[in-house]
Amino acid sequence: MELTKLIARRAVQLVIVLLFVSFFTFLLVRLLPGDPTDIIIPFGTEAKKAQLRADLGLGQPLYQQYIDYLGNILQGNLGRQYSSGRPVSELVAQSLPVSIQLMIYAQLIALLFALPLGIWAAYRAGSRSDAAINTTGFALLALPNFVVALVLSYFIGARLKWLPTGGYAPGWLDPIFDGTRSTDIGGHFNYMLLPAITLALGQIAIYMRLLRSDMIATLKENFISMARAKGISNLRILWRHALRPSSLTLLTVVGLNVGALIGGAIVVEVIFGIPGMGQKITLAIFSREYIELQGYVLVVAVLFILVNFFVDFLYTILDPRIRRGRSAT
Amino acid sequence: MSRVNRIAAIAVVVGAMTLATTGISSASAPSRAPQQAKGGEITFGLEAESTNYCLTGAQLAASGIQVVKAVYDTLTVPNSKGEAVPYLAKSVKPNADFTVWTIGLREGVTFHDGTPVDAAAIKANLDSYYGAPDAPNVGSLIPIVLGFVQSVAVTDPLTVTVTLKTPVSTFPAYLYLTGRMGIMAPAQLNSGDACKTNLIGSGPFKVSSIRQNEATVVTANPNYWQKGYPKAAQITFIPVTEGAARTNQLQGGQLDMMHTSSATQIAALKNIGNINALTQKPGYREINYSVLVQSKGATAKVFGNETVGADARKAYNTALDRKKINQIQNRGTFTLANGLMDTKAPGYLKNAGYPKYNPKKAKALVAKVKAGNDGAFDIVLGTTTDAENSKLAQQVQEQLDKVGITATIAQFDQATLINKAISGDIDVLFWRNLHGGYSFSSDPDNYPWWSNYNTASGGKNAINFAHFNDPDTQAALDKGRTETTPAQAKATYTAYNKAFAKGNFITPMWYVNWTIGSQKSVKVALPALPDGAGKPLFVYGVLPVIGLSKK
Repeated sequence: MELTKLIARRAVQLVIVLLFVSFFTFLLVRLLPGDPTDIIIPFGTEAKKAQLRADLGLGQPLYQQYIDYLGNILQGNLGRQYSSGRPVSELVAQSLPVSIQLMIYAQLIALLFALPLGIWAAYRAGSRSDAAINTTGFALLALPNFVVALVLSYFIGARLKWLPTGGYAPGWLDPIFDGTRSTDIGGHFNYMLLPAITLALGQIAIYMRLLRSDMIATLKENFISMARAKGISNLRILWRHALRPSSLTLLTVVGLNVGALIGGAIVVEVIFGIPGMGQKITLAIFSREYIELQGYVLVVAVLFILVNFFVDFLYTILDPRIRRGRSAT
Repeated sequence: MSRVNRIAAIAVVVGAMTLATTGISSASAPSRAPQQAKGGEITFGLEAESTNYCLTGAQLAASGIQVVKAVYDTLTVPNSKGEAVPYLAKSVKPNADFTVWTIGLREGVTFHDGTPVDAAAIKANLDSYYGAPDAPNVGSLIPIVLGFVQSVAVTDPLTVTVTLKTPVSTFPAYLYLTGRMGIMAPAQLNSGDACKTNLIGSGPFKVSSIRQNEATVVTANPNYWQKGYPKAAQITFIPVTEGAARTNQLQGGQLDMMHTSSATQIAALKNIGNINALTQKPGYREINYSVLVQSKGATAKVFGNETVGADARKAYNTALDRKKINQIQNRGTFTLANGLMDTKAPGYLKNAGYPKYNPKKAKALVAKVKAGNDGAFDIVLGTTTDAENSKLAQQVQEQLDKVGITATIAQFDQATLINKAISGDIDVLFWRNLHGGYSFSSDPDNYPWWSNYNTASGGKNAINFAHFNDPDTQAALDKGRTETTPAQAKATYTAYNKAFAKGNFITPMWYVNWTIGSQKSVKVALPALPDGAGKPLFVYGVLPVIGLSKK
């Protein structure tokens, strides 16, 4: 019951935040100085500019424009890319699954390494292996994505020819968003592995260090001493008793990264030729495709909020004390 | 080792092994073209994506024109002698004074949708290109280039007559327009906004799919009018904007071919074993240059300033050590240009008269400009977001700073950069273009670009990005387009080249060595043009694709 109430309250908050986000995204084009059509299509004919003004509803009061904009969004209409005339929703449907899959693989690889390394480093805090793991983590953190991307692309792809250095094949998620695509799982993983590793390397270091510090604190708690006193094995203590309460900070950062990577893997997507949201956003910025950019910003912002809403919800599962605390307030 | 230690260590090792084996076991990259048909399937890496293929209004660079070359045919093409010869057209013939041109068409040629390439289709295309009243999808730039066209008429089902406002002896070259003037099927031309993405031509390949920023796939046109062509079964054009990534993909085998105009990447291509590199020969190369934009009126900038503009332009050109820039930018491998044209163009001069690098003189000129311009010599350098262009802009900025010119860099995508130059929102446009493409005349590469900004009819020549008016260059251009012999053309364009240099309207930097890199398995053949018109010309980094094949 308390969980239902909590979800209902968070859902209301979510709707309010989404309305704010949509309003600020809506203002993106309306706040352009002068006549927005002069900025969006500076050399368009008068007829084209008039059409754009009508499409954007620029002659109407602002509140009416926003209501229309919201109505269009709810119907999946995000406007059109000016240069090609393609619907932005079509471009989103092509690029969003690509970025989501890349983000998932990067996170999985990062967590696959960060969890055991973080636990090990905490368990052996102060030892040589802890120092070695920390130093490696620092080194990985210091390497910019583009350097890792180019180095991997050159050595693994161009020189050794183990993996492709660029391109894309549709994965399991693409056909769901875009019915015209058929899956090529083998090719998909081949193309995605290098970019996913590139993105994961930096994340491994962050996650590992976060987990390590929280874990060290947890291992000093009374309930851990109690567990040890009961003769529970170290492995069980670490993975079953200590990991869960130590993973809240990690979960927060993973949540933030998930949202950020959907639209933010720009360098990696460009270098590896991954046709995801990051690449689309970059091109939209440079080509001053304001309507298209508005659509991407909205989609990324909404996903960011939804993911973090979900993460917030996960807290309550990981640590029942949070659920109880929030219910009480 | 305790149990926890062991298991944690195993987890780390297993994780590492999983990652390593996933990478190693995949052995080789998946081919984008698993099925090999006759002539093979080729992947071609482009340096940029193009989103608008409604050719009458598209602002296409070399990458876009390369795709156009596969899907569309132009009425004429340049041959290896630099002459514009009939191609999709059977003949292009003038009347005695070059004011009426008759275009004869080939029988039985069809567009990809099965409709005929007849006089009505050609008229519809030319009407939209030059901007006839009520023509669909008229662009904003090409009508300026074709401003001399009076009307287009259908004479019979296979003949079109084009009447010009003035004599233009180089009209056939305009029908190519550096590959931009592809002939579209009426179904594309009349499809409103869909014209941008609904590509229907009569070219050797027809579009199979377009996925923006990912791939444009074209397959062989079985009904192509040149029998036995195209050789390849399919070409997949993939935009790979980052130069090093494009070269890596060629080396890694994901790409069969790529084009580049970057000296760094050309050097990289030549250092990779097992790769062929075809570099455009001197004669009709593009030049890399900076346009000094002279915007006037309310937004008067220093280069267009009535009092100090000429000195400001001269100061800019005197301040730049082009040799040093070429050394850093291109490892000194590109040849410095001293004028608008390459060696085979009429009017080419070894030294057209641009000022030499002289920082002392530049400083003196800067001081003079500042004295007459409220103490300021501040300019905006406009360039694209490409890494090489950014590097160039930074070098120029640094050298200008040494002589007291304050420069800020503004970066845009190519289409926006063009718009910024047109509107005069920048002072310097880093640019490259072909201004001496044809041996007989330099008209189509110069007349539209460098005719006076203020036209005789009271309008504006928006594609004169420098925004200048100069009676000497205009007189030479007007005379040049009416010349009918190579000797006359040479004399007139030599005078033009000198007058152009005198005005310091641009800063010529170097000739661009466009290069095509390809796998050894790809055969890059340039088959003879129809009707014995000679060999095609590889120019502007755009490769004729009908003869491409892969083993």
